[in-house]
Amino acid sequence: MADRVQMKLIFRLDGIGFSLPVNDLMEIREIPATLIDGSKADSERLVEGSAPYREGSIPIVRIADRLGLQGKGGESRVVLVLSGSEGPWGAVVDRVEGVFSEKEFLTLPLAPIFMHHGQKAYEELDLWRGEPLVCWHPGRFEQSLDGP
Amino acid sequence: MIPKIALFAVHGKEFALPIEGVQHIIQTPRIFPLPLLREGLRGVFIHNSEVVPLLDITHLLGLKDSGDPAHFPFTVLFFTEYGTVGLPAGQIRQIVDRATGKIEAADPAKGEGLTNRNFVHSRVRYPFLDAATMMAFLAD
Repeated sequence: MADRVQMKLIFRLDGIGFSLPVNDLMEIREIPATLIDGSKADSERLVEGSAPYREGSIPIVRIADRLGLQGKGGESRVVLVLSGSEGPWGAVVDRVEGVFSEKEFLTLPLAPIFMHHGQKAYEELDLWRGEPLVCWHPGRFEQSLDGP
Repeated sequence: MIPKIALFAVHGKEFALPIEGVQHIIQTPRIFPLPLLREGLRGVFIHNSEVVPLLDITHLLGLKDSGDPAHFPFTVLFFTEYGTVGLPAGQIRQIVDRATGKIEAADPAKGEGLTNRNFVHSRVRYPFLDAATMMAFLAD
């Protein structure tokens, strides 16, 4: 049996590229802003609200805020649905660029000298077609919301 | 080998770099922003499959207008203990023998940025950016 080709998804926030292993992704949805229930917002955990998902609902998280970025607002949200430690959750991104073979990516460690003291939002970059992409790991992101 | 000093201009201000720390001077590549970069870095660029940080030269030199680094025609690749860093440069004025000038302490009261030494050549004082200055800047 042939080896399964590993894939990575590329998404963008404020024009900056991010890579995400497709195995971490459940699905991609475009959710109208009107469907996001703001009464479930939790600013400390960057939750904008909750949105219907399958038989229940999921928290919609503005990951741009944690990264010091603005992110796009608008009438709908592009949401990456991810499996989290407490169930599925949605990460808001500006747009999805595509899904590409892992062979196209060269992963490089990010020297600490690049970062503000204490920041560990990401630790690696993927070099893809001459562009550095932030390697974004949902599990690490969740942990960062839980504090040190 | 006679030590040389390269004199660059950026935003109307000139600065001096010891040639021995210069790896390459290249046309400014595409600059990429990254989230949560430390203060003093303007972004990164790719050189020989390496991600290289671009220093904010105007911050180093105490200039107000930081400008768009992509508008600088040249980028100097400079070697430090932290690895290669990039410095935007507007124009290469001269490369001179170090012995034709002298290094003197800078006067912080004159708003000479983060450099603590000047290279004085033909009675002109150029902020002196050597590896130690850049390391101190990055380690700050």
